[in-house]
Amino acid sequence: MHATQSSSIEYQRPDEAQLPTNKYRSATHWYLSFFWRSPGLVILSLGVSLISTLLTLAPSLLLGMAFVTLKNDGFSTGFVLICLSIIGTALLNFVFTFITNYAWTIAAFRFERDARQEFFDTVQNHSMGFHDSIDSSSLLSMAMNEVSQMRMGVNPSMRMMTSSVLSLLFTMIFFLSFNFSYFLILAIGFPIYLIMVVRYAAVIGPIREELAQRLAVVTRDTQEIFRGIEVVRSFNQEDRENSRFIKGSDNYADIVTKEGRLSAFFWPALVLIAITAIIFGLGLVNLANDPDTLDQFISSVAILLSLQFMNFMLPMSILNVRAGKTNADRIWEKMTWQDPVPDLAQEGILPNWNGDILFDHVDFQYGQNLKYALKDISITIPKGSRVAVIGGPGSGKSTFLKLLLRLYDPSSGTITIGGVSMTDIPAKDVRKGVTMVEQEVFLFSASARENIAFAKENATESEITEAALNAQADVFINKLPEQFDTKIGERGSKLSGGQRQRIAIARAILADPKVLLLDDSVSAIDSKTELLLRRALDKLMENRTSIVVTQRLRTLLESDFIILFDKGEISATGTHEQLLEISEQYKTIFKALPEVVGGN
Amino acid sequence: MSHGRGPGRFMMESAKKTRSTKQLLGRLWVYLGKFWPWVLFSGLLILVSTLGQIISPLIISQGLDAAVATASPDIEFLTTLFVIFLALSLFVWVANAFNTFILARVKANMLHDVRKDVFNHLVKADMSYHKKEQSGNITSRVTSDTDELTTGLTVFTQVSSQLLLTVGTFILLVMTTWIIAGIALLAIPFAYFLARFLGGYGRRIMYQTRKSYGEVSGQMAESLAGVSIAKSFNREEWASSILYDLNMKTYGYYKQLGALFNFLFPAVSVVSMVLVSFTLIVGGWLPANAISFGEIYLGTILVERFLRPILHLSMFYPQLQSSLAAMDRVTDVLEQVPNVKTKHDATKISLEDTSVKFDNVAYEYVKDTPVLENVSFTVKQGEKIAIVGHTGAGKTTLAALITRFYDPTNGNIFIGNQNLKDVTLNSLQRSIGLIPQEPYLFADTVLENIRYGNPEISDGELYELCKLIGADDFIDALPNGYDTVLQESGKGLSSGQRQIITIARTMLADPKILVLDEATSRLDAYSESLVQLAQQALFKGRTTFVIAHRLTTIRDVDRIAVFEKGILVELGTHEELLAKDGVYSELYYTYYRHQGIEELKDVRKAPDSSVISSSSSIMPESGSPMMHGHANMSTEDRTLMKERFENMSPEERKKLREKFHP
Repeated sequence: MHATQSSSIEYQRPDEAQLPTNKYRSATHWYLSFFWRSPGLVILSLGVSLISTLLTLAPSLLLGMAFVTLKNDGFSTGFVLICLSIIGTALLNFVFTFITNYAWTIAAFRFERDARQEFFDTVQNHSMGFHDSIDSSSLLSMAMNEVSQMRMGVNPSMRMMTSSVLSLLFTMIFFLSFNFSYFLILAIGFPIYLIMVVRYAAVIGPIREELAQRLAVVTRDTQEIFRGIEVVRSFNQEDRENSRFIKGSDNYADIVTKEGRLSAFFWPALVLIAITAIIFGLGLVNLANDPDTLDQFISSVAILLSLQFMNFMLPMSILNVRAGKTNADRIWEKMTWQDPVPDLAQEGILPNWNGDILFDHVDFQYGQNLKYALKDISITIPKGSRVAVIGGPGSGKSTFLKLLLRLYDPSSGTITIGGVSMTDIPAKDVRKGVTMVEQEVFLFSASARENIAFAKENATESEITEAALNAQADVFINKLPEQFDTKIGERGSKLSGGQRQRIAIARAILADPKVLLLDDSVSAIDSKTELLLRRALDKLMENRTSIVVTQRLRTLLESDFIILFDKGEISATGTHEQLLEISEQYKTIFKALPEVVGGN
Repeated sequence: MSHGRGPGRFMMESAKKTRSTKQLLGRLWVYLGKFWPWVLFSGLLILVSTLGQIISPLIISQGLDAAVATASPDIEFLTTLFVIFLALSLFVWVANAFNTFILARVKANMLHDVRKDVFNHLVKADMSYHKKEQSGNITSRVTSDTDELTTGLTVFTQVSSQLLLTVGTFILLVMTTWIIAGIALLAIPFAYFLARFLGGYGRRIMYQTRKSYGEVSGQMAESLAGVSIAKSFNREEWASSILYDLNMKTYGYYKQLGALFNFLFPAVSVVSMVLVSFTLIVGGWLPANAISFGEIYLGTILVERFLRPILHLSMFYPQLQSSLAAMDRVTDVLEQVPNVKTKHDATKISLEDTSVKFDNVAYEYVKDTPVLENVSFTVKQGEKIAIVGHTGAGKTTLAALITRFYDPTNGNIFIGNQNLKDVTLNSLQRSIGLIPQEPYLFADTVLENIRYGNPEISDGELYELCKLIGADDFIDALPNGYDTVLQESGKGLSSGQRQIITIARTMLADPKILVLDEATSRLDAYSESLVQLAQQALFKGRTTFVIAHRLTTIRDVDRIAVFEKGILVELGTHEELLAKDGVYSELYYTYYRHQGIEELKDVRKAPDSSVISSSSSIMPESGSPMMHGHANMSTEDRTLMKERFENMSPEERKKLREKFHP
């Protein structure tokens, strides 16, 4: 969190129409949008590049002139002037090249910056269904590496391609100006050259992609093996992992060799060699017959020699542009993810927090073809009630909470808040009234203060300290090296489980929700922590509807009623005493409670 | 995976290395030397291709002189020159192509060899090494560091051919006209200045850009991982704006970087042109009998070629450095000799007697700071023993000694009457089942994760076993049952589910001795009972060590070993130890008992949440008029309240006092 750093331009959240997925038709459209994102810079760059490319040819022409002058007039003022004008044009060329390249570079870095932001904004907007199904580290690598690859396709690659093609074009025009047969050689040779370069790239491109994929496999396998080295060893699976690794590494070595074999022979270069040699030969013969063609000979050979740089640059550029497109496709696919349960809520419809929450025949599954996580749930949660939820793993209790937060919508059936259907209320308005304290607390690598204030944008200092006080978090926070300003480490790793939990509770207290959702399977370390937590939770549950997934006997006893989940269905509801009478299953669970077991 | 695709890798801060360049190159040659005929051939190819590149301008100049100077040009001679020129160009092309081809093969094979060796060393390395290093670092030893070696090799071949070309060009210049060679030397101060500039200002900007890019990456990682939190607090916009600020900042650095590079490369061209111009002037000024047209032209081609390689050299130098540093890190791994290894005369472990005996065992990670001292006790065959103690008591070390992840610094451990050091590591590890605190699951299906314990078992047998330990229901509840693919070590599974899977896996391996480091986090009631059930099945008939965190577990074991600061202080049954009223009973009342129902009853009697606010007035100096209201508060609570009060700022203290003593 770097809230203190401010930029000159404030961030403006894009509205729906501004999202790239609505603004651009396809991955290609998005990729090429580079050209009209900063039109001024791109036009400036392209315009000036006409002059700079022309100026790049100038020294070769001046060289020819210099030799002719030297031959005719000897060491004269004219000769020296021509020589000095080589320096002059070089300086001019320097200025124009700088403008061309710098304008393009800035436009490209802007493109990279904006594309990265667009990717994040779009992906963040996707529902939890998306985020559950994908490894966040693969999204990260897209946002960083692959967006950078896209930019590399644009700059330097597209710029190099333009300047290469312009160079070829100007060279042809120059040759046309003095010798039509030279021009013909180029007019035939250059297109063949370009076609061959493109075909070369088409062969190498897929192999490079394969190369990257195989390397990723080696990296992934290695990472997995060494993360789980303890497991690998205790089951004596070193040999198996070893052969898995060697197979991956072998595969990679194969493709490196293959790539080397194919890319080593850059056939198009032969075309350029042939052109240069032919014009060299013809030039010599011409020169022998007509000494006045000295300047033509010198200039044309010099220009053709200077074109050699393309043998290196052009294929690389084409490959990069190609790779950029591949990356754009991959990113675009993630950005255009279609929510199987689209959000149809309209702005302005607000939940009625004065009413009860009603589940009416709600079914839910995390994905098509997956098991139902919830089946035919119908229940009323009166306003202000304390509800405990209990059930085995996979019984649907966590899913139940997530639906209440509108992280997901029911697959069928409805949830209403005070008579308003939840799917009609924008998710952000639901979440203004509902707060969840999760089982595994996620904290940001920011200060304790910022983590607590996360719940309320403009929280005052005293609100924050009060929340911390009520959550029993102030004591340990004040013991931290910089108290509330202490960065609590990457994902909060400097804190113990109980401390993280209390920060999360402070956060929830500050949010002051109408409905509190609590996944209370806390990590208990010692009785001291346990006691503190218990108090913090009491404070948190005060004066609001609370729905708590719990295993604590005390919470069960104190709840207005308990919902017992089993395999996605509600198997019983009632108070602790009622359930003990009516539900065999509850009785079994009750006996399994560690508190009860321990007491026997 | 590195995020090194940002600003130029070659400018990376070169890491410090601990070995001399000579040593490192020697190491490298161990791998490269295997392909020496190819390496030699490649060297020859580079040599001849460079020679070709040096000669080809000479042909042009010869042609020029022949065409211009001679009164009646010899067409045959010109044709010969044309053929030579064409042949030379083709020859250079072929030589380069074959060289690239050969080097690719050499690099691929060398890479594979180094990787294999590094991997093997790491797999066999002491567990202490793995505990010390982050898994990300270890992975990069195998992947990116080895990659860096081949990059270094590529750069080296490029640099050496460039160097060869520069030297060759210069020799040719001197042979043609020494004055023009002198002009070419003017390039050197400029190249020096450029190198200094790149190394100073350039490197600084590079560094800042990388750092800033890293910040964006870090923020992005966090925001993506915490997306559900941002959603539940409606703070998506905030997450976006933070990223936006960092993105803007990075863009600012990128602009500077862009300006630098866009200035530098055209500047090199300008200097080249200055040299060309000077060459022309000097060439023109010299009398015609001292220098021919062809030679002047040759001079212009050669001086233009002179500067670029020097620039490349200065840019590639840091890359070579970082490749050497990578070789250094790789060598660290390769030179590591594991402390724990199988003796020559080691035998397979016999499991007739699986009692475990600690005989005066001591262990120290750091010299003279023992983690365990004088530990002597025997666990009978089939006995279940709980190991308890505060953090830092040496519990985890004890467990690691049994599995022989480390060898004791002093004393011996016996299984039956076999010293651990006398049996093969493989057979030892196969007979001991270890369940670590953070169970590790592979990115594969649940089925395959369980099967890991015994790859030979059939699906049917596996299902049978899961039913037996009550894991079946558990796994069946997953979205795709046994075929659910796990990500990020079981993200989305409850800790109970993760534990059950590891228990099933261990059951399959059927170890005779079991070491279990119980997870500290408490499970929900249902999972707890299931895990308990599964554990009982697992423990049955096996000699078992449990680092216990759960009340239910310590109630279930035969004996309890209590450790304090590396010393075994108490050993006995739960009742015996409680009766002693020593370390164990203190531990029990602090860490375990509150998990039980007795404590719960106490709490229900205690006052409600108002305790917290009013308690702040229980301070010694206030004369505590309200003490009577909290008569049944434990000593524990009182200490806590006191501590709490002491930690307040004076203002807070004052505020609270006023609140409760109006």
